[in-house]
Amino acid sequence: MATVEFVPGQRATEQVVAHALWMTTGLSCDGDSVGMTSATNPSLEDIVRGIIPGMPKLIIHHPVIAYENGDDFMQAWFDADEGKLAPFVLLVEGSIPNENLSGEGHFAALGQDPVTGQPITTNEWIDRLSPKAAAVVAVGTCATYGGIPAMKNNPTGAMGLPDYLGWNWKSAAGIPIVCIPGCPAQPDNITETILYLALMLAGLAPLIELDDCLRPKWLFNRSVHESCNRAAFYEHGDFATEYGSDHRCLVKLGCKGPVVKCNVPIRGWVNGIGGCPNVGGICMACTMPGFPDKYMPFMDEAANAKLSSNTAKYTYGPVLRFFRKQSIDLVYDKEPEWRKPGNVNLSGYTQRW
Amino acid sequence: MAVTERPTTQQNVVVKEMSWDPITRIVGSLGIHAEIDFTNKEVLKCYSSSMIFRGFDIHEGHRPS
Repeated sequence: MATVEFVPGQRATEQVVAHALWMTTGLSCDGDSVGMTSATNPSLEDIVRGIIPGMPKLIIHHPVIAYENGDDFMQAWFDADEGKLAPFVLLVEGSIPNENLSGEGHFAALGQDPVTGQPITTNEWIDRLSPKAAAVVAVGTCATYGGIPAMKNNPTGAMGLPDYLGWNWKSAAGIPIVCIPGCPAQPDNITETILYLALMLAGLAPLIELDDCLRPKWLFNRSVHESCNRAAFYEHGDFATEYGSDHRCLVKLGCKGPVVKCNVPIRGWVNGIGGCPNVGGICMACTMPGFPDKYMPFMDEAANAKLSSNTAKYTYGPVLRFFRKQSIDLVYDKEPEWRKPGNVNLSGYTQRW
Repeated sequence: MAVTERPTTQQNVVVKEMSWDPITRIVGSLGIHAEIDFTNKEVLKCYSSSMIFRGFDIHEGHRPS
């Protein structure tokens, strides 16, 4: 416990115990959970050990990292349902199936009803817990907008959490559903948003700012192209022709970066290293509500991109490239002429005393 | 872990139903349900259940490309 207060009221807010219930039993691959374990800023360990000043003590109930098994693990869910775990944040990973279509079986479930011995569906848990949760967070593109399980011709009728609860849904504390899309969501985006919500619920941060698609504004306000370190090659009309060729723009290989909102090119992946287009992979638009159907086929250049990239390639691009190269070669790659040895200072300096 | 003790009539044979559902610290939703005869050290029945169905493999006529 801190002896010096770094934030006002720090000792009081650090006494609060909050719970995070993470459900991986939407239709998903648990990729966000695995991704989150590699978060670095803040890391999962930072959050669990409470090293951030003023942060409430957060207990994470997560199937992929819990030591408890079976009914011992499920106890937290039943406790939350009975109101013993207030305040808690419900995090959902994976799309929500339409259980009206599942007949006598179920598409997704977690744990068993102690009385009947029957599985409790993911949908039932969401119906039971979401009215009691302080905040509901959808992690990953499946949970936020549906993603791959919800693509065309899917058998489960899968949808994202805002589709299921309603886009205008608000928690008891007045917070809309918070969406952190990505396939998987960038690890630091997940932990940073969890941290923000914890500080917000402790009264140390203002209400989280979300855009129209319920994404945190400060993370998803720029497109991949706007933050890509290959973007200037597009301006020059200079495009990579095959994978691994060089560091030119990947649009002609099918990169969807110009029409995708995501911060991965700036933020990188683990500890800031990588970022899909930075390391030569095309952007497949995995953070977007229209993913995957509207961006397929992934490996082909989209018609709009063809038009604009060819405009750059055949009109202004080569002109810019030529004059910029000329300026660099003739002017800026040369030092000013006064930097030489000798007895005379050629810099233009005059002694003033 | 849920343990349901169900002693049978035959010479104090202890049979227990045990279930681990969900199994944690793995990726994926797995449950194991077993009926174990502790007297004769025998597993009588054992079922595994997968709790989620994603339907990836039957996206008919529209495969990710």
